[in-house]
Amino acid sequence: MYPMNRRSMLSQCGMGLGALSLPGLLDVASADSKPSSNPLLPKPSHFPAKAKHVIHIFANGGPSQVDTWDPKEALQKYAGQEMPGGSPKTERKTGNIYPSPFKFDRYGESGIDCSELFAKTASAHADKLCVIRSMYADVPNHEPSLLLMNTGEARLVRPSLGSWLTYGLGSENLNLPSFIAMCPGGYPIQESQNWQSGFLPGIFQGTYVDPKKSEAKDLIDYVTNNRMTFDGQRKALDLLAMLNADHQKSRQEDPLIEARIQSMELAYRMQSEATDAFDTSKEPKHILDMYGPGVQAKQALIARRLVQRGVRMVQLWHGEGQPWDSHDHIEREHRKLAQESDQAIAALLTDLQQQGLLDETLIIWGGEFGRTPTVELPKEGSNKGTLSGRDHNHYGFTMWMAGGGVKGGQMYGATDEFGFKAVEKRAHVHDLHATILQLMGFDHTKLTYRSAGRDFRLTDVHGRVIHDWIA
Amino acid sequence: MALICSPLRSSIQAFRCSYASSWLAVILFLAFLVSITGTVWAEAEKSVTADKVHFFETKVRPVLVQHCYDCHGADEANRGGDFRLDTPSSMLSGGSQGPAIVKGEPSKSRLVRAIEYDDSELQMPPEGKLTQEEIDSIKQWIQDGAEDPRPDVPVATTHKSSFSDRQSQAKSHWAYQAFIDEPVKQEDVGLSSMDLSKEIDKRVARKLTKNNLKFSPLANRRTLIRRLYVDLTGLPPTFEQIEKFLSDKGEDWYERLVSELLDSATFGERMARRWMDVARYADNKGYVFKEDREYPYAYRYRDWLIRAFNTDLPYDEFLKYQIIADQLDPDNSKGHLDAMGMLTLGRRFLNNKNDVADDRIDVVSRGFLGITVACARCHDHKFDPVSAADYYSMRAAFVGSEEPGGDPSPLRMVDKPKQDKVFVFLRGNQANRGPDVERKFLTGILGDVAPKMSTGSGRFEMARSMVEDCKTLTARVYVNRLWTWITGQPIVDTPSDFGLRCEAPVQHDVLDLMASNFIREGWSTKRLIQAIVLTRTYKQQSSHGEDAYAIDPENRYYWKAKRRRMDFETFRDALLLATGTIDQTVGGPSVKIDSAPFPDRRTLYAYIDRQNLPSLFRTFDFASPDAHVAQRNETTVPQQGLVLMNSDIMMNLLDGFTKTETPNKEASDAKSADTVGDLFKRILARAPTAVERKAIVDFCQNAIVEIPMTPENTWNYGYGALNTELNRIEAFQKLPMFSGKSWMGSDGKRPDKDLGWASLSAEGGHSGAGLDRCVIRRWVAPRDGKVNIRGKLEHPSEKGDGVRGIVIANQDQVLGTWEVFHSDTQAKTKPFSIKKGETIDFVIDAKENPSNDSFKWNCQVQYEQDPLTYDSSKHFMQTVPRSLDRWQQAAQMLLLSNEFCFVD
Repeated sequence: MYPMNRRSMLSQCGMGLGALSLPGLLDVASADSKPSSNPLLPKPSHFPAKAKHVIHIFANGGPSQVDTWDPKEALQKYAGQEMPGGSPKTERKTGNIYPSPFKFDRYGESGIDCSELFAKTASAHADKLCVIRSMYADVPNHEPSLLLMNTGEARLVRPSLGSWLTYGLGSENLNLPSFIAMCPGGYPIQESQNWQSGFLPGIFQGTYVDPKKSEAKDLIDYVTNNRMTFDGQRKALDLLAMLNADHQKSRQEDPLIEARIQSMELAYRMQSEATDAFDTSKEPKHILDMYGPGVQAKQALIARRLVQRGVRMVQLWHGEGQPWDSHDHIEREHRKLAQESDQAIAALLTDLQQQGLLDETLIIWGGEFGRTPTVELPKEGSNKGTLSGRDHNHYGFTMWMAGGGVKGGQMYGATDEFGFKAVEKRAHVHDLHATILQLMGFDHTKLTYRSAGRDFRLTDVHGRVIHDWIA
Repeated sequence: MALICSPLRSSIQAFRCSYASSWLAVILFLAFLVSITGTVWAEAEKSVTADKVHFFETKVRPVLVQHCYDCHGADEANRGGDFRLDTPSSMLSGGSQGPAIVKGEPSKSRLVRAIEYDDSELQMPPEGKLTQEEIDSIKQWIQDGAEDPRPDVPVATTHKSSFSDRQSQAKSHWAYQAFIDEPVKQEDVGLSSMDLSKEIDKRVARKLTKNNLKFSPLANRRTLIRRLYVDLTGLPPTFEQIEKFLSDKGEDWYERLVSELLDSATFGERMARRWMDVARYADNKGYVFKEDREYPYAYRYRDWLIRAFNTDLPYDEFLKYQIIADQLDPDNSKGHLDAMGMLTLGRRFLNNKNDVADDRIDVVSRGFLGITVACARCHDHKFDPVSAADYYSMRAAFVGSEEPGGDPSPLRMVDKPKQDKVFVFLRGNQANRGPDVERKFLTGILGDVAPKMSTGSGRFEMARSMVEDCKTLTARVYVNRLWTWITGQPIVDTPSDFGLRCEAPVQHDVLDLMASNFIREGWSTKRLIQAIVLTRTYKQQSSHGEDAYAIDPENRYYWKAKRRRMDFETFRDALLLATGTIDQTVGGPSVKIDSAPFPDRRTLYAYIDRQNLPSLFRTFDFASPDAHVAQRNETTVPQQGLVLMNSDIMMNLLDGFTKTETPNKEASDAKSADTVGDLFKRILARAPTAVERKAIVDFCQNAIVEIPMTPENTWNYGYGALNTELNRIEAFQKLPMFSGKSWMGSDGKRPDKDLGWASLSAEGGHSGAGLDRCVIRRWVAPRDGKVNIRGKLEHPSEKGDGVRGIVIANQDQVLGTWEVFHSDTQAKTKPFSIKKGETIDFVIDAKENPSNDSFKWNCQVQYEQDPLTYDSSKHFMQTVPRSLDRWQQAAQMLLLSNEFCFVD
């Protein structure tokens, strides 16, 4: 799957091997020093990595922790009563304690709690999951929380996690974009800023793909040609190679010239490889059946195909806008959303394991925040006027990780009696980022980029690695 | 590298403490305790036993040094608060919530609580929990009485990076000093461009000689012509333009060419686009939820820039108009009010006024002064002499202004009638007010001469100070930009950061010479550029020999010129120029260049979508419009090749090459050769060599000219006769014209004299008149396989008698028939095995009455086991499926060639 080995690629791009072994190569590159060749060439991490790829399943909108991975008996016990001490302030007014309508069970040898919503994932994989019940963020609004989760900064323009990873590690497959964000039907809230490259070179930005579409040209920009056949292009590129060789004769010294020659050949190969990577019809029936029907299944399966081909990071958003944002009818809505994704997630983990990819792929599931244990009060214009949903909650929520380097079979940290606030072993989003970078082989304080007079990093001045999550 | 890294690490640790409010509370609390109990334990060190000392020195002290001293040690600059762990007395501190260390009682020691990591509000060290052994050692040590042999005398603090020290460093920092090199004074008049260029060369030559280097030979005339055109206008020269100056016999051809280009309108366009990177230009606001995100008049700022550069508006005025045009030209009588787009066209951050102000501080301070003032938002700048008070004074200039919108310029900003008091926000937090600030401009750098910012918002003094008090810096920063834009190589490597960490450049004297002359010459951009391109330094060739490379691989001493790859704008403009379609209208509203109808305007007129910048721009290293960009990245990635090989933009351009003769075996050699010559002239602005001529002719004779079987290309739009007795299609012909939304008869309007109302659109169409004029949508199979055919056929009208839809395979095999009249039906057939190249016809029979026969028919064909649906609506084509012809293919390769893309 590799177009060429590392040595030949480097020499073809006019860089000596020495360039890669420079100490600190990763942490001092700066906007002003102008990297001169393909910035996606593979680069070493600070120390040996536990994982090589990331699949981030983004339940955008904010899934409810007390209805999924963080059961609270107190909600049944005090159903309909006021929260002791009142509800913490969230985006909208909430009322009394609202019990979970879902049945919970314990799964695996480790006894991981999970509601019926994710029963398939939990029953097949509980012992692989590190369920973090003590996540917290800063504010109860979608936009800043999405940016925080993706870029470590709630308002200003900063590179996203996937951009940092591809900047730090390069790509293992130059025929595909190294960071792909899939979201069925359109963008999530805050749009492509969620996978922005910020001040990093634009090539590190996530490539958006709508998995509802099925044609190659809709998936990757400019990957198909309406007016020339493959074979025709090959002949034309041979002519180009001849013209370029002539031009290069007297300009041997210039690595940019050589790099551009190579990039045309890479582009030619990318056309077939990129198309192939997204074509799930090439999967055997038992695999297709395992993932099940629907677009969540499709994008999960594509994610596996991409990771298999060396793509560094794949984000799977649930859908356009903010689907998990159940201000009303949470029972119906959450059930529908989970039904769309549970089987696909379970299948993805199984599939990765069967393909031998789970050990090197970090899977992350979660939203930008969680939801309140109290019921959202009806308000004209902001919800549907029912007493059947929950508001945003950044004080405490659940995420889980599995795969590459993750210590599975554990429930880490805890929220309070009602599942409102993280109280034990609290983990901020910055801590999550620091730990992800650690798993990927980076000291989060040293993966930096100089911009506007400062060395920036994903975790800014925050973040601590939570070693308990790491196997 | 070490220089860059080490301050970074410590600075981050320092930031960390000043940011995290929970730690800060702890630190302040502990610091308070130090002050009241510090001396009580001073005697303790006298009674330490040897064993206990040994334990401390081997088990405890190393842990403290490694994990704590960075933030809680002697170095004040890095310390988050006043709490220290490097002296016995400061270790032994306590308070109302229990002592930090209680001798003999680890469980009551706050330090232990912090390192055990059980309390979510108190966890130290922040980078991660200590090992259990380390924690146990510290507990053991406390248990044993916390014997501490360290001297209790605080180690002298270095103070080396406090604000006041950075202020004194600023007094000797090269970028803030007077010019070290100025032209010999001639009554305060600057040197002419010619004289200045000679002075520049003298300084470059001096350094070359000192380093055993010498200038490379002059580039040849053709190279120089091309280089000048690209550098000064952003457009390569045409064949004719090159020939004109190649055959120019005058000795001063070069000087005349330079003048001609500087006087062309394209010069201002080139420079405007350069400045738009500095000004983070975009045509929208970024994400603002449901608010209208467009800046419909952003282009007026761009057009002002073009005028400013073309009229050589002195740079000091250029600067001032962009900040205070509301005060210099309030009613826009001089046409300068649009200049304020520099300030008002940034990202809007959901209209958070603090972030909007921050963006403006950043664009002004880095863009004009090379100072990273935005770093001082949360605390005094860690490296540069910029205090938080300096930041909040500048902030006041922006939050003290408002944008009234509308006439005389929608881009203007004016001072608010009433100004608020100015405070520092501690740690950048609005809710956390610090001391009042006396509004002054850059006190850290300007010291005693820092002007008060007391007129209205203070923008006025800010702008004035930039071209008066700060003029040497302002000039240096801009001159460095000009030099970089023209030569491709910066003198100062960090063009927007001339702060204390920026060392004096190798060509310091050249920079100062140019900057000082620039001011004396009345801040003229054109004359400085003229001087630069007249230098021997500029006119060198770009290829090099090994010897010089070994001495100075980075070309710091300018022993050769730098070969450039065309940037995005130049490259696209060059493509338009080669096809001859370029629209050279100067100024006007922005246009979307990445979608049909693919306008032919120069690339600087492209609509810039800040929120979702199209991949086309990002792929070619376009400057991010999110924030000021000091210098573009230069990457080489295959996605660039994909655009050039496959994009509709490229296909559209290649249509400009269809008029050339198509060679074939019978065509005379001479004719083909002419065509090759023509291609080379248009694209590479030169004649081909014999070898090249032959290679192109050979290629054209063997090129594969085939229509690829993309989903779009499987559909054909035609009409024919339906033989109802034999159930077959006879004489299928293509509908000749596309007009509006439909394929139709050759008149291009309906009713057509031959075909009447017959038409086919993306959704459906209208029947033809009679059985010999049935409209037929024909699908041609791209491969063998079994297909399913589906679709919905609908006849909406109540009038007439409806239509009949028939699906016929291979012109004679009827797969299904459906009649609809003011109704709809699912038109689905049984699976059908088909071979590559065979056809499925979707035929509409008008029945008896051909009027009122508008129909809708979404026809879908899908192979079994294939997710792709060939969909007549989705894959509707407005052009006939076609391939690139031979010459277009050859032209494309010339356009992709390195010769086309690089400028020697």
